[in-house]
Amino acid sequence: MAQPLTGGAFVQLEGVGKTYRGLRRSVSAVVDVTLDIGLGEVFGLAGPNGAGKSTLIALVLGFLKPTSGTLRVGGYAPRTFVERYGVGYLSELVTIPPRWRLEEALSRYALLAGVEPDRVQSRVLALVDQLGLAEHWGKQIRQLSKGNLQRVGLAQALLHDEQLLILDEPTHGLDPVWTQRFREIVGELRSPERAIFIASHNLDELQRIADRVAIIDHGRVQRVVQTRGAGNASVSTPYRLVLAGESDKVRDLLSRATQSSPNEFELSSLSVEELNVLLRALLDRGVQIAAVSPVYSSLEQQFREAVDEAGNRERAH
Amino acid sequence: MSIARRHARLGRYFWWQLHDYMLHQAPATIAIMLLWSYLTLAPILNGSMTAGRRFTIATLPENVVRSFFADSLGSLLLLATLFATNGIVATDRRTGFYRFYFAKPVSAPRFYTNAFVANGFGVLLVSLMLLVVFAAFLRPIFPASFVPVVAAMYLAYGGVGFLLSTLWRFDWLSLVTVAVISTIGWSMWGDDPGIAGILVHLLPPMHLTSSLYTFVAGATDGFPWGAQLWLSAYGAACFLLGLWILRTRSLASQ
Repeated sequence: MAQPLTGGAFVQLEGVGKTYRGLRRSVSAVVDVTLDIGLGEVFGLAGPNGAGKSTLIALVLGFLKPTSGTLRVGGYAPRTFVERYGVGYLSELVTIPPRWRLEEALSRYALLAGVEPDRVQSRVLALVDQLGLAEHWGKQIRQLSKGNLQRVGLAQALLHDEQLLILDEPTHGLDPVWTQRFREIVGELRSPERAIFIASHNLDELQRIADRVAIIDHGRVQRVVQTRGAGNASVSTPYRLVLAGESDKVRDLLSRATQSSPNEFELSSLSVEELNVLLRALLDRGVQIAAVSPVYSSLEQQFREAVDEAGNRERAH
Repeated sequence: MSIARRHARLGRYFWWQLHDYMLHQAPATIAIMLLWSYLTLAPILNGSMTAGRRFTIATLPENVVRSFFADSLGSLLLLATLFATNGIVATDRRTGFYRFYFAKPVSAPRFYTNAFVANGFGVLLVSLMLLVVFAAFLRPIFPASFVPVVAAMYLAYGGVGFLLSTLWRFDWLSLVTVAVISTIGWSMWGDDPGIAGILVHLLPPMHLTSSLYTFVAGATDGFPWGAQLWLSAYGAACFLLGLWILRTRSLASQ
């Protein structure tokens, strides 16, 4: 086994760019992206439509070649890595030949994934069971609903115990039960020897499962947000505060807050530490707190700021 | 977790690719060839093409049977190869099926070589089936050169079709266009000592195919080794060029 497969950054992008050149104009889909994704990490990628997420994933899989910069996966060029070790990949659009039957599709992909022929059936059965697809056994792919097709797509990505998982909009079309189940599956797949890369529009989902999230817009990584661990506490977020009873005696403490109703306030961006200082001061004055909640998640806040900044920069140019 | 280097089980996957050919392309090939045979033979049997002279299968002259065999073989191999290689690469690119295939530990050249061989095996099976049908209804002709000629013609037409499929999605149309242009080009400028004669040598040597078919049909003597080798080499060169394009070109278009 080659040494670069363990330790250090597993996926490395350095100044990576991808420009589509047409006869009349060129479009830069990805611009100067530098990122490291380590083993043991769940790394998220968020961005608006057309931000460059799918192009970035196609570059990591070697489906596209970068026009600038360098990209290594496990120490190899992307295609070399994929052809030697394989990647568990769920694409945004689950495209499987529509005439294939569910079990046939998974058996075929299992052979391509390098599963030993005498283990193919047991592996397919295990995944069909894990992803609740047993009732669709024997059905053609074209007969499956969007949510079931998404689960088949996820099943084929999990056929082999891959070191790198790339999931593009994995919960698209899933109902709340299976969205929750998906989070559990990602939790089960977390391993110090595996890197998981998830692109999603669903910021709440990324906030829950990713360790770090890169926010991409206009082809550039605008910022990388630490969503787990100590870094999270330093992120400023607006909060909604509801007091139970009289608020006049703490008017001075809430001078910077916007009052939306007699007992309800919107606090401008506060870090977790600042929020706790304020809450302690309110309690010391004998005020009862009925509710406190973030107006939107810290990731959502960061996302809004990053996308606004990127939009302003583009307009300025 | 398995982090050892591994390979797709292409040996096993071959049977799925052959299954696809036998399920989708083979029935269409057989149906069209049977219809073509009926439409060709019926006017001979009912006398509409032979100045009113009617025949039965048993009374058909030997030279007519052999000529029909050679024509059928030519049509079969062009049609079967066209069906077998049409969209072999381009369809996966257009539909996006390539995404799940090539996230697995397999290279596009190996995967499509497997598909090309599986489809070629399918073309051979269909050809042998129709040979048996021919023997049952017309005359038993089982020449030893049948299999090598089918293989050579599959490589010749299929190699060009494969190359075109790596380049763009209108491969079936361009393969037919190339075949027609080659046939016309070779008949008009094949012996031209000038630039036209040189350029025509870049086209597939379609003018050589009939010598192979008539030999297989037993209408001529002496195996046309030159034709067999030239057609095979031309097809193999196109196939290898297609593999090189697959290796160097991005799998995704955007």
